[in-house]
Formats: sequence, C-alpha cells, structure tokens
Amino acid sequence: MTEPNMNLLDRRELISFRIGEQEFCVDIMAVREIRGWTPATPLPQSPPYICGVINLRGAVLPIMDLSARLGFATAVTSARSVIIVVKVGERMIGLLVDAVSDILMITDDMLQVAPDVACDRVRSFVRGLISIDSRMISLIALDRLLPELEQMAA
Amino acid sequence: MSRTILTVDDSRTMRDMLRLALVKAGFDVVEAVDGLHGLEVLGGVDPDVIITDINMPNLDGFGFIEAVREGERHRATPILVLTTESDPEKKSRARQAGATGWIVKPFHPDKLVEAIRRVAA
Amino acid sequence: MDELEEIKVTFFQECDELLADLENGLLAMQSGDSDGETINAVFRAVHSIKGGAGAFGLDPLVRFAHVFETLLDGVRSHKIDVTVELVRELLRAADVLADHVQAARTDGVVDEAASADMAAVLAALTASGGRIAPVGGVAPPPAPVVTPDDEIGSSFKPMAIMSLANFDEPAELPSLGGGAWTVTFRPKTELYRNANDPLLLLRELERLGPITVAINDETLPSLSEMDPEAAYLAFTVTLDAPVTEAQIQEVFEFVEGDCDVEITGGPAPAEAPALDIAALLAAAETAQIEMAPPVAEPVVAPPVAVAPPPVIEPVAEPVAPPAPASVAIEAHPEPAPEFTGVLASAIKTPQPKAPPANEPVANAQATIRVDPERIDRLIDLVGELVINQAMLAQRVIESGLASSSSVALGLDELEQLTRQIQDGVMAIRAQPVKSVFQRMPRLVREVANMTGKSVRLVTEGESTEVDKTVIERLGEPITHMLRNAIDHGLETPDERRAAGKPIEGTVRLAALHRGGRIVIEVGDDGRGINRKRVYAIAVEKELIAPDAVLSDEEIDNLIFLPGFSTASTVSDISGRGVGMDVVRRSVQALGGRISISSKPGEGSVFTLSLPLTLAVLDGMVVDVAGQTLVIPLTAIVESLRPKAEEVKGLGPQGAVLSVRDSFVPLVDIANALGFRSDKRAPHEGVVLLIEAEDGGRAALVADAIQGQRQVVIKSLESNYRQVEGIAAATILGDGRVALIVDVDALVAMRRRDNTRPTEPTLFAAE
Repeated sequence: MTEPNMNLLDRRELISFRIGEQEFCVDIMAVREIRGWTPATPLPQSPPYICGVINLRGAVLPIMDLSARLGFATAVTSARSVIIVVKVGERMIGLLVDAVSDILMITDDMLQVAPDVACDRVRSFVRGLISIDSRMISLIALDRLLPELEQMAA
Repeated sequence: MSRTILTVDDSRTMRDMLRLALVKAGFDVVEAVDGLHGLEVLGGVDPDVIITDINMPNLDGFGFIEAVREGERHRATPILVLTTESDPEKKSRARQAGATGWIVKPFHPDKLVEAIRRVAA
Repeated sequence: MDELEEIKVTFFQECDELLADLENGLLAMQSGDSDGETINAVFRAVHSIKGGAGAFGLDPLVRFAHVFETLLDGVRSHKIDVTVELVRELLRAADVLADHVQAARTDGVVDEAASADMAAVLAALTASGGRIAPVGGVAPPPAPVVTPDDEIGSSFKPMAIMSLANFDEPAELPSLGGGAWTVTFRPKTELYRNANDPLLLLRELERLGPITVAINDETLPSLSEMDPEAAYLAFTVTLDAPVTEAQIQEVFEFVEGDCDVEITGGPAPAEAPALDIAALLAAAETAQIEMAPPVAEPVVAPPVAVAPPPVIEPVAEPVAPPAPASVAIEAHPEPAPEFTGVLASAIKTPQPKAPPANEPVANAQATIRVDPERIDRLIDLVGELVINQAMLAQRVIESGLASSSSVALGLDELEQLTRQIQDGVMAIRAQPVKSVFQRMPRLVREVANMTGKSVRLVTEGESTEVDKTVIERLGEPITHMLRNAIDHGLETPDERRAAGKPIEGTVRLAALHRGGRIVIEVGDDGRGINRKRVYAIAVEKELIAPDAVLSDEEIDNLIFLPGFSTASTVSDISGRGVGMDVVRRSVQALGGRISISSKPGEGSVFTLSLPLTLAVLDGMVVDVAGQTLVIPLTAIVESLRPKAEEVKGLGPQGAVLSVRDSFVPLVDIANALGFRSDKRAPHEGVVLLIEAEDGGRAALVADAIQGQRQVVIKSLESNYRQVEGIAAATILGDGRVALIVDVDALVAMRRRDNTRPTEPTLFAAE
C-alpha cells in the first residue's frame, strides 16, 4: 500500500463487504450508491437469487441476493443489510450484501488468480483474490453476474 | 447601436443561415416565415434593412415588397432580395416591385454583409 | 456542436418536411388537383431543398434538385402539361430526391445509375415539354443538347469559377496605370422609390479611392414647385484610383436603370488585354457573388465568353448521366424558362395590401421549437410528481385525517392539478400520425412495383395525435400490414379484371381515436381471406385440431399464429423473414391489439389499436397473495364477486365461471404468476372479467380490489428483462414497485400450463 514506486495507473479502489464469513469486493468505479435495505417487490418466474425490484428514485431496480448468487444460503435481511447499487454495462442493479466493510486501495499486481481447487461457481464470478493484512478478499466479476439477463433481453 | 435586419424566408435553414451570418456581423435579427408574416412583424419593428426570399407561400417576395413600399412606415427601408435565380428578369421584376438590391443564394457571409453595407444608410 | 452543424441538422429536418410536402403535393396532383398553389408548393419544396443544399455544398443533391426544379418550373409556367404519366415520373423523382437527401445526411452515396437515369428522364421531359419518352429513356430531345460528359462538367466550369475567383481582390490586379475616372450619375425618381440613395453610391465610390464630388443642381426647381419625392440632382465624381470600370459599374449594380450613369476616363485603353481583364473581373465578380460554393447553377453569360465555349454537338446518346444533365440544361443556348407570367399572377392571388390586423396569419409563427429531451425530462418529472402526490395522499390517509379536513381537501385539488399538468405535458409531446403516414406512399409504390399490382393508397386521419412514444412504434406494424394488404390482399390486375373490379386496387390507411386508444386500420379491396385454405393450413401445421369448430373471425385471425404463413412460397415482400405473429407479439408488448376481419371477394381490414401513450396507464389496482398488482383497465370488462355455485370444475385442474349463461375459464393470478401454489376458492376473492386479444374471455381471480388509478409506466427491461405475464412496472403511493399484468400473456400462459402435467418450475439458477 505504501510502496513509493506505486504506479498511479495501476491503482484501483475497491469496496469490500461481507457475505457470511467471507469478504468480497467490487470496483468502486462501478458503484453508484449504497443504500439501506427496503423490501423488494417479488418478480414472477425469476431465479431464486433475484429478490425482486425496488424503486430507486423513480427507476425500477432489480435486487440480486449476492449470497444466493454465489451459492451460499439465501440472505437473511436485517437492519444492517445494504444494497450496493452498481452499474454493469447499461444496466443498474442492486446487490444485497450483509454489510459493507471498507474501502481498499490496491494495485493490479496485488490481484492473484483464484486457485483451481475453488468450486466452479466461485471461480466463474471471482476475477481474482487480494490478500491484505492476512485477510483474503475476492474481487467480484460484475459482468459475469448477469449474463443470462443479457441473453433474455435480446 | 446595432442595426436590426428583418429576414423573411419560409425555409428555416435559410433563416438560420442568415441569422448566423448576421449575428456574427453584429446585427440584430428579426425573422418572419413568409410575406404575410413579414408585414405583420413590420407592424412592430422598424428594421434598418429587410432581406426577403422570393418563393414563399401565402405572400411571395414580390407581393411583400410591393406591400411594404405601399405603406408609409417602411417605404424608405432598403430591401434586399434573396434569390437563387440569377436571371435579369427576376432582378428587374424585384426592382419593379421596389427591391433595393439582391443577394444570390448560396451566399457567402462576407457578400451578404457587403450587400447590406451598400444599401444601409 | 458547431453552429453550422446545428443548422445542418435543421436543414435535414426541414428536408423531411419538404419531402413530405412534395409528396403530398404530387399525390394531390395525381388525384387531379393541379391548381396553381399545389404546383407552387411542389416547386417550392424542391427549390428550398436545393437552396439549403447549396449552402452546405451538397453538390450531388443540388445537381439532382436542380434538374428536378427546372422541370417543375416548366410545369409551373404551364409550358409542360400535368399528365398522369408526368406525375408518376415526378413521384419517382421525389423518391430519388429523398435518397439524395438521405445520402447527404449520412455521408453515404446514392444509387448513381438510378439517379442518373432519373435525371435524364427529367431533363428529357423538360426538353420535350413533358412528352414521356418510351421506357428506356431513349427520347431524343428536340433541341441539340450540350454533350453532358464529365470533361465539360469538371474541367470547364470549375476552371471558369476557380481561376476567376482568384482575382477577387483588386490589390492582386496588375497595375492598370494612372488616369482618373469621371463618373457622372443622375438618379431617377425610381431610385429613391426603391430606398436607394445617391449618398450610398458616393460612399461606395469612396471605398474605391479618393473622390471629389460636384453636384449639378441645374434642374432643381424652386422650392414651391419641388416634388419632394422626385429626383433633381446629378453628381459628377472624380475618382483617382487604380480600379477597373467594372468595379465602378458594380457600385451601380442595384440602381441600373434607375440612374443614368456615364463613366469616362480611367487608364488609357491602349492595351486591349487590360480591357479583357476588366471584363474577366466583371465576370469574376458576378460569378463570385452568385455562386459562392462552386455549385453548378448559374453559368451566366460572362464566363461563357471568357472560357472556351462548351462544345455543342448533336446528341448521339440522349440518356445523360445525372450531374452533366444539369449542365446540359444550364448551358443550353435557350434562355432559362420564364416564370414571370406565373409569378405575376401568383402575387395577384393574395392581395398584397396589408392584411387586416386581426387576420390569422400562418400557423408557423405560433409554434416554438423545443429540444425533445427537455419535454421527455418534463414528462419524467411530472411522472415523479404524480407518484409523489399519491404518496402524500396515502400518508394523509394513514395519519387518520378526516377526508373533510382542509389538508385532505387541499390534496384533492392537488391531485386534480397534477392530473391536468400531466395531461397538458403529454399533449405537448403528442404528434399527429402524419409523420408515420407520409412514409407509406413510397412503400406502397415500391411494393406495387415489385408485385406488378396497381395500387392507390388512400389515407385518412393523418392529424390524429398520439404520444411520441407510440408514434415511434407505429411504423413497423403499419409497414407490415400494408405489405400484407398489397401482397396477399390485392389480386393481380388480371384477376381483378376477371372479377369485374377496377384494375387499380385501393389500400386504405386510417387513424382514429376510439375509447382512449389510437386505432389504425389498413384495409384493401382485394380478394379477402380464403378461409378454407387458412383452415387447411392451420390443420396441416397442427396449429388447430382437425375437427376444430371455429367462427369466421377466429379463422381469419389464425394468420397471427406463430408458424403460420399462407404464401406457398415465402414472399420477400410481406415476408422479409417476419410473420404476422411477430407483428402481433410486438404490438402486444406495447399493450396493443391487432386483428383482421375479412369479406370474401371484397377485401380485408387489419385493425391495430394501441394506447395513446406508453408513459401512463389507467389501471385497476388489486391485491394478489400479499402483492399489489395493476391490471390495465382497457382489458377489463367488469368485476364481480362470484357465488360458489357459479364456479364449475373442468378437468383435474381447470375451472370455469358461469357468467350469464356462458362459461369463462378462471385464471388464478397468484397461481399463474407463481406467488401461491395452493388454489383459493374464487368466491372468496373477486373476479375480473377480461377480454383477451383474440376476443376470448377469461376471469382473473384476485384477492381484493383497491381501486382504479392512473399509473406511470416504468420499464422492467431497462435494468432487468422482460418477464412473462408482466407488461411493465409502476411505482405506487407507498413508494413501492407494483407490477402491471400483461393480461393476454397471463391467459396464454395459463392455457399452456393447463395442458402440461405439472406446474412450471421456476427456472434454475444456472
């Protein structure tokens, strides 16, 4: 973090959050806002990881239960639950997570490839692993969370 | 004090072109969309020069010029006719109606300003 | 965006309007209306396109427009008679002109050959006084025409213009030697009448060099005899400057004839070439003023004198390429067509006297141009306002305030006002369907040509207004319906003749408002639907059971079923890879309906109805399994509370409701959308009787009705995707999202599911 020769161009800021006991993060450039949980309107015929839709200042925003999406148990929402609103391509989507932990600054060379042993689902959604202060944080590949939405919309 | 030019043309493109050139040259611009509208506008403004198209609906350029010259208020206002037709008949017809001079389209902004200079007191 | 670019955008917008005017005028002429004003409007449209195109240096467009305009000018001045054949060519030319405009707009190119052929036809028509050449365009014009080859087009004229243009500045002239000019001029009364002024002339002369002026007032009468409007003075000016006589003459350009001018002196005329330069300069000046960009138009006399004269030779091949064709006309030794006569009469028509002050003048002045984005933004904001107002109202109710309290009364007024603002704002964005309709005549011509059928298009209700969001979606279905009407509906000319019908088929395109929706009808006077054949095909393709009993109407509407196509060979005209089923689906996605009715031997009518706007919707708000849903009001026939004995089971899953002696299938909304798996007895809830697209009815079961409300439509697709059974979403007074039910899809889903052994599973995560 404090290397003097840190290349500004390689530097990126990430927002990290928790799902269960694990830590994940997304690129801050994709984050539009973070807001508290409000009950979503369920959508028929949607996959289990889509909680439904909420009103985001007049726009209809789908909410994805990131825990369910990554293969963990379906999220149990609480007062601490937050929605991270991210922009992926032309779409906005809300990611339901347990809690936001902090903002990290990393350089690209700190990003490690996820090892082979990890299960396929995690590997397909994780762009890489970051090790900071003996914590392991997985960087989410946002564009891979929604591929079937893209297909369906076509 | 900047001078006011009334442009009378049914083509929005041409009105916009005239406005662009005239405003750049420091003139104030008032617009009308045909001869009849032009006469109406003249009820409220006293332009220093009038520029008018010939082919227009409702009242064409010739009719417009004649009506302006028949009135008391603007009969001494210089009128330049915009025309794509360069034939002498057109010009003499416009002059008979009371046009002071003419500008042939497409015009170069400098030529437009020069024509105004030549007729504006 | 640079200002000139902005004007260019305006120009192309204007071109669209002018092309529409042109087409409308020509269509009016086609139906026999060839009065002066119609022809003038047609002429003006082409003339204005040429004028604007010239300003932007869009040369191919200018050249084609010029040839077109020249012919129209002949029509305008009655040199060329209006015939059916002529108008047909003019319509074709209008299409080519539209292609030129499109090419210029997109920096693309036109079909050169087609444009060249068309230009040649127009030129030949102009030359022959409107006589139509045999097809193939081999009509030798009576007069010899300049061989329109590229050499003349490209080498002669630009040379004349460009090289002369270099002499623009007097300073670049070779010195003409000393010698002062003496200019004597005596203004006539006409000079003053036209608002010219000798002082202005003196000022212009002074710009050329130092002058001394002597006034000759010998004809000045005594004050009492003087006519204040008359001219009495003469001026003698000595100008000592190295200028040419042409430059001095130019000062008097505007007053030629209104002023006697005599120019003497100047440099000794010893060297003849010097005079040539002067003439050349005069030509240059004229050319410069009159043709700023090197556009073809005014090859005036002077350049012809200086430059090598164009070769005039008998024409071996009269069909000229497009650009040179215009050259051919320009350089034609005959004087340009006269318009004086027509113009003279034209200006007589509207009285040139000042109109009465209160007479309504052209509408144009009463309109404002606004960036559409601003209106869209306003509509979004008003949508927010509507939602906010509803939220506020709900809070007030929740707070327990009496409905007679001043707050509640004030809120009612607010609701009224909000609604009015919304209507007003929507009205701003409403547009007449004209913009869509006017694209259709061309389509009809093209399809008619391809199919070898003779078709007349009649349009009605062009001024019917509808929201922009709908306008944008109308073109596609109308195009399909028209193609279908011509390709499948109308018979061939032979068949029509045999059936005792007029050879020319009629296709009618109409728009009207009905029941808060816009209805588009496309009718033809063709053969009508062959029901036996349609039925047979539907059976063959297993779309219906072989023993299905269907009404005529039901058979007609089979053509909208997926996988149905009556054409034995796939036609590239109506087909284009898209069947009527796709059209129906896209229409339904917009909350619209499409149907067809037909009479054998007399023709068919497609009827398309769409909401007037895709921004708001009147809906019935209902509770379903703890969710709030909105059912479009247009689909609802009535709502009822069924008695237990009116519900009858039908098969293991299904149930029907007995409504006044007919049985309507029951659809439990909560089940259909997967909100609840167990069935609830219909008589415990409410039933909404709805009419589906195909005319079929269904009874939707909900838990309770909240009431009717206008809701703002929000897209689900912009951030998510389409959801089967759901048309869109909205935001309710409590700030939560409510889903708007797609009634037709819901019924269709239910029908399909009932034929399956099990309930559909929610599709798996991966």
